[in-house]
Amino acid sequence: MTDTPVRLAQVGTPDDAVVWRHAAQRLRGGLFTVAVDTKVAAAAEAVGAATAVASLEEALKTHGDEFDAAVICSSHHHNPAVARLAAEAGKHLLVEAPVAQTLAEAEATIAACHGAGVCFAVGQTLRFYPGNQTILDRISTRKLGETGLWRVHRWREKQGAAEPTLLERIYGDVDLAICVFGSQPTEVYALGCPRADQAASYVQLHFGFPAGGMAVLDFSGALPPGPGYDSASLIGSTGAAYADDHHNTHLLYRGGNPAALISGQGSGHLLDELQAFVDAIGQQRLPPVGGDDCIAVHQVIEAVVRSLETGQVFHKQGECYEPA
Amino acid sequence: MSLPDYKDPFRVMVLSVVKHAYVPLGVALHPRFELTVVADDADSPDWVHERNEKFAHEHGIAYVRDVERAIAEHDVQVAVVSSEAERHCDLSVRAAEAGLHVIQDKPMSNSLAECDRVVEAVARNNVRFLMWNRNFLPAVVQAREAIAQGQIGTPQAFHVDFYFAKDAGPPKGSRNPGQPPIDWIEALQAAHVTGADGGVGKEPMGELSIEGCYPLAYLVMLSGAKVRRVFARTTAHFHQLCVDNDVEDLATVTLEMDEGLVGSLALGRIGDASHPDIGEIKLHIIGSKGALVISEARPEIGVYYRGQPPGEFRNQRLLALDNDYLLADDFARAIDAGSDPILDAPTSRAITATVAAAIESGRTGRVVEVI
Repeated sequence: MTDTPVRLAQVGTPDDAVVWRHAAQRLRGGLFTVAVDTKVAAAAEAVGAATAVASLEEALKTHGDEFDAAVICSSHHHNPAVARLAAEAGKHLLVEAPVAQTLAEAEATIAACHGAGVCFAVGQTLRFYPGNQTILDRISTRKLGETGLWRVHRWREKQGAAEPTLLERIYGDVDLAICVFGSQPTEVYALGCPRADQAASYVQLHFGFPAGGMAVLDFSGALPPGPGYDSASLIGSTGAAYADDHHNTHLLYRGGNPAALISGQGSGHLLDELQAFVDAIGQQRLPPVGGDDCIAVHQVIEAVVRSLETGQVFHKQGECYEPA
Repeated sequence: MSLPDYKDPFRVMVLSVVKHAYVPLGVALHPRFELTVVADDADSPDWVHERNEKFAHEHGIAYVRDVERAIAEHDVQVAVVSSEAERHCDLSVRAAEAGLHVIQDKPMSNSLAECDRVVEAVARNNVRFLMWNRNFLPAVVQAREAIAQGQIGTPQAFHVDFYFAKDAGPPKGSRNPGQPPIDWIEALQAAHVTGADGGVGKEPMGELSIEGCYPLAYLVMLSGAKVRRVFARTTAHFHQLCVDNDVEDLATVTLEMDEGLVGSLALGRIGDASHPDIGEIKLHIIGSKGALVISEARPEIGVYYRGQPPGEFRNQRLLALDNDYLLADDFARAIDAGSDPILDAPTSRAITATVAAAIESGRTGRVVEVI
């Protein structure tokens, strides 16, 4: 490991600048030197970068020797092109999920990274959230025995015109389910809400995994304005874990029925994710969430889409998912 | 405040009580029901007679080893059936044919043909039938009221987690080579002391059959919809008993219901170590204007003390007995008014059909229509 810090370029202004600022300040062995966004000042402020430019092309042309890696949190519609540009310039990449719209786009992006010999990592995948970290740790240390059932409820407020796509809605949880079981599902069945007025806002996934494993995940984007609701439970053969907003709820009395105050999971996950990326570059090893993980998620999501379209169960056969 | 309209109590025949004494005891909580006699068939095995005899003795009532004679001689109006599962329907049919109203322990049956016999006999004899359930638990009632008041808009999706943190004998993988498989009925007879003998009978049953009635009854009551298609995953994940008898102790079911409603069920006998209480039992309901997250166990009280026996629940449900009383009250009203109780025979049959479809889906890996 070298003592030279990994120099990072932030591409795109993150949604929560305060969280990014805190993470950037606490990062060991890495620092943000360049920020790239059309909102130049905001981008630089978010991560404390000394240099801010409006485009990646400009950053590569005029400040290319000031950063070793790019952290891309721009809209995923642009991620593949931006990522390939950075990779071809020899920059390591941490790309916010979803990396691409399609499996083919994701494969092309990863191939570009491999071709350039740079590190490719996927960000914002849910794996680094503290509750999930605890569960993954207990799985890996065999405290909970064989994983049997993974159950998730992920509900968000209605977004209106900015409604997330299916890919955005489910990517992180598909990745997490694969991580929990250590393999892709062997069976995929997906169900949307047949009601026309709510069709876009709801989907539930039912996965089968080897050795009898199973996962049921439901996603709603129809909550009234306010915080979302998250619940995850893992049932193992010798124990179980429950991570549930319902259990982490406080009460606020202001007359009438009390309001619920839900404790979140903090912002440490972002620091952990950035740290893992920086460490992977510094130690020249694979990042914790890389290209193979990305491909695996896209393959499953393609099966999800086909299941939604056809109402059929898709079974894994080799590298493909086919209807029963 | 008006006082209840007191009428003569219904005389109750306990028609086999080898499994859950809480069913007849729950009925007896209500002043309109009076335990009168225990009865069973003379050719039942000795252990059945022993349990029946014990219950009758404890309650100071007679035990008659002849069902039809007990009906003829004891002037009973209601039968409470808590036998081995495969005898449930036959005993219920015989009671209905004798003009008795029937309260039956779950599961309704492992056989849809047997369920159909009950539905037909109950209708033809114009008697009432109640499948024992948990739909009057206060949390479930609260969910029902919130939905009825439109607080979450039009319901869209119903999800139920129903985990029982109880062991069912030795863990999976514990049988040594050369050891015989665990015998189902012997194991379930032995489990009677802990109350974990819901599947007692000759025919092995998985958790979907044993416990599925409860969460599916919630779904039916809260949604008012029938389940039309299911996709399920089932496995014997925890207990050697279930491995040896080829039945599931863990299951997930995707549910497609009438009127575009969807949902899911996650259910398992997940073992003592997997939860500090009896198990996580929750309802997640999404509507067009909001959502509900309900913990079925609440309200509860936590009690912890030095020397606390490991088998004692540290978190005790409050108002659980209210469910039993309200079930009995609902049944008394149904008898009086000739109306349908909260979980009647056709609905119970539909639940059994959903369970059967889920088991088939789990075995075939296909989506299965509920018939």
